[in-house]
Amino acid sequence: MNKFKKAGALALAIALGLGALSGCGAKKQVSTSDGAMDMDIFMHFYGYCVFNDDWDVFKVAAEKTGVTLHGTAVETVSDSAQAFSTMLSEKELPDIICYLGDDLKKNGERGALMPLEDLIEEYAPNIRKFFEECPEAKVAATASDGHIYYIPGTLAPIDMKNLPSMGFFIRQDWLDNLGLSVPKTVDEYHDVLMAFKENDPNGNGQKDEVPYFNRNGKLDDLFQLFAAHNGGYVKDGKYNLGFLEDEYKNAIKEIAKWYSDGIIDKEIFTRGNQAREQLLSSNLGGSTHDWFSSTASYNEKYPEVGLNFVPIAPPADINGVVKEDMGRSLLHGLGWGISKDNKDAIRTIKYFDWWLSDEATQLHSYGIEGVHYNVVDGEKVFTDEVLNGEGGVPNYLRNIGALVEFGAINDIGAELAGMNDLAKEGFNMYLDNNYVQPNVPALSYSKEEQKTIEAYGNNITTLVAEQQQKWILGTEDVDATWDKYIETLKSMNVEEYAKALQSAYDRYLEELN
Amino acid sequence: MKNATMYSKSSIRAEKRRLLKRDVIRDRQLYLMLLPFLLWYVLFYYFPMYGILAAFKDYQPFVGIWNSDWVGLTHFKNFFSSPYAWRVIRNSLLINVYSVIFTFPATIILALLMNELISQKFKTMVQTISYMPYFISTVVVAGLVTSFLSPTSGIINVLIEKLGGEKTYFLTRPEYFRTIYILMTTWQGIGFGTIIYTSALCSIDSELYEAASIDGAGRFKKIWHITLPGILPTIATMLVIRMGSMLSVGSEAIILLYQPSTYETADVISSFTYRNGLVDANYSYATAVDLFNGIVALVLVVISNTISKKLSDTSLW
Repeated sequence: MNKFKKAGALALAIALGLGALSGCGAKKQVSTSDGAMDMDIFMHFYGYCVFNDDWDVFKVAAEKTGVTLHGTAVETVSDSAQAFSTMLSEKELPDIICYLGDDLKKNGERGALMPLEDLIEEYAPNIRKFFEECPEAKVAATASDGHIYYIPGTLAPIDMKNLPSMGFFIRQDWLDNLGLSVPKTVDEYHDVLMAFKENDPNGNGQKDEVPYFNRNGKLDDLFQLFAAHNGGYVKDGKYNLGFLEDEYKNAIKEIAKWYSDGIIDKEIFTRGNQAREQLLSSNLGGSTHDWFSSTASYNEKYPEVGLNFVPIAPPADINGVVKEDMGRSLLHGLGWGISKDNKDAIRTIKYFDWWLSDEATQLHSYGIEGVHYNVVDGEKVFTDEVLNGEGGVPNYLRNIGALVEFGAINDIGAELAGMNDLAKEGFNMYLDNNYVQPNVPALSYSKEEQKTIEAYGNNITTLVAEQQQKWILGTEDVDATWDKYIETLKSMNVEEYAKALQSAYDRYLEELN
Repeated sequence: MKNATMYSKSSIRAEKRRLLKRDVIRDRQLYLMLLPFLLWYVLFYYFPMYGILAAFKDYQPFVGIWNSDWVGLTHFKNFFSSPYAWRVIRNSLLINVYSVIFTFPATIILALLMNELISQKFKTMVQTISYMPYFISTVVVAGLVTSFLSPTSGIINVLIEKLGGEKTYFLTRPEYFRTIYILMTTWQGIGFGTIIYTSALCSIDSELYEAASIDGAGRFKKIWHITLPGILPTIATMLVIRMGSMLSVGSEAIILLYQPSTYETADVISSFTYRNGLVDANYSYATAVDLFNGIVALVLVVISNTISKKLSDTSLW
């Protein structure tokens, strides 16, 4: 008995050791007589989005197309980059790989994925239509060697080019208490924040108000008020590095002044992700710049505080331009491609093509009709189960495989359905007035460009972040140190770095036209 | 004569082999128990060393380590030509030097203090309480530190203000970073670090103490002449092992506590490569830096082990 136990324990120990070595043997696609087909898919991104064989939406897709997908990635691995590289280092790749487009292109060039352009030309009318109507998608999917390696997807219908994500919010009740009106320009915004600080809008007799706060711990969001950019941006065919420009110098000076005046949260750098929650629930926060749907929910969340935190149009910048720099690109940057080991590329591209049909767009954006939504007077209305789902509508839908980012078009409906009226008002205000400026598109870097960026990028971003914070905190004077800062950046080869980005952007523009 | 020696040599060898065989058969169960651990070392320590190659290659997961292009010392050049290379090496070293100067003896002192406690119940309580911080996640500890040091409502700044001082935003000031970091890690690790000394203390013969009492030695004399010499080999071994990590600072606590404005003193090798390596999945570069780290660690361990051998006859090998 004892001996038996020992042997058992040993066998277990060895099995555990060997299990790690052998990994999971790849299952191969099986074709049955009725044309149904099983394929393996690797999908693991954002650290949590992992393909689940039980997703209802993909079951419907299997009925329509005859192709059933089986996920190969395991949910217990929480590092997507690690899961992706482990998958790539296996001898045989899954049939379909769904991941960040940039990585798909990079590995496509090395032979991990099949070039898709001929397949698309011959078998995929919907993909062709998608690429025609949204040339950005085609360019994004084209690697620097000229081949298309993946099918991208969108966050919204393709006619919505620049999607709002964040906006300015202000305490309307505080404005009312002090008899102020909504700030329309950067100067008015400054004055309102100053009044918040000085005039005790929360009425507790103390000057404990925090006029401007931000939970991302950075002041990036304020640069746009001074017509400056914190990082890279594109304008008139040029890729510019904002942190080299005079506008940036001026913005830093102004922001440093705002900080020393006390209208920016003194603890902005360390308060962390809970800043919004903390400052709104304790009736201390005055204004922020954040996502519409979550920020608009605080009035209902803390009724006892009596908040009236409302979205406002971006205050006009120092040149009088009303704009919002922090938007989302239409393309979410993820997509799927066909691996080199896929045995039926034609069937796969047809499957991909189906996902870009109108029928699939509805399925991907709303789930299954009659189960997750009903059509009432021509409008899609989510069922109560979805509306009251845990974590909100988008979260519920993701758990059935809808809204997940791959090569499909999302009709923005679900995102809007997850918002309360206040959030919708803000979102539509930014959308309808075209406040949102175009983002830097996803660029494909050649090997040379990649090398330059890798060699110099980290030094440059380190210096910029360090110097910026020192200036804002007032430990160093902007005018006194600006020239030295530029000089140091030049010694870190910032010019070559900018050139590499520019040449990638030039190629992007060339392909677009 | 010559023949005789050879004969005896080979016979000794045969005899040895026979004995070994007998040993293995007799103790087969022990050897079997050893097997998983040997396998573990081969699989998880020796086999992965092949990955060091990645430091000299442009590693791409799909192509594999072997087939990736050789790039020679490019990654090392990229690291050492960075204007920040010296700064992050210096910061990593300094943080470890301070940790050896303050945290290391603090652990020993706490162990000695706990050893002097007479009430067994009280001793167990003190030990349990001092171990506890070790089991709190670093994220939580860093959160505590951040809120203690908050410039508006943090307890430290409130105290400073009450005493007539001026509030300071400690976490954005490079001159305070090392102190904060060392205090935090000491608080978190001090109790757990005493375990090894506590067990060493148990092994000191109690007769020695009795003899010392008869000779009229007081508490401090006893600590100085019996306790400390008794755990000196343990201290020396721990110090040699500690030398192996003089360049490595866990990036987790650093990243939770630092700010761009404190990079000057806070940015260490691991956080610097984290910003470069992890974000851009630049595995080769990270491997190169790790390899450099490993070589320095090996050199330091060998040197300190030699010194320890000379001074105290205690050594790892």
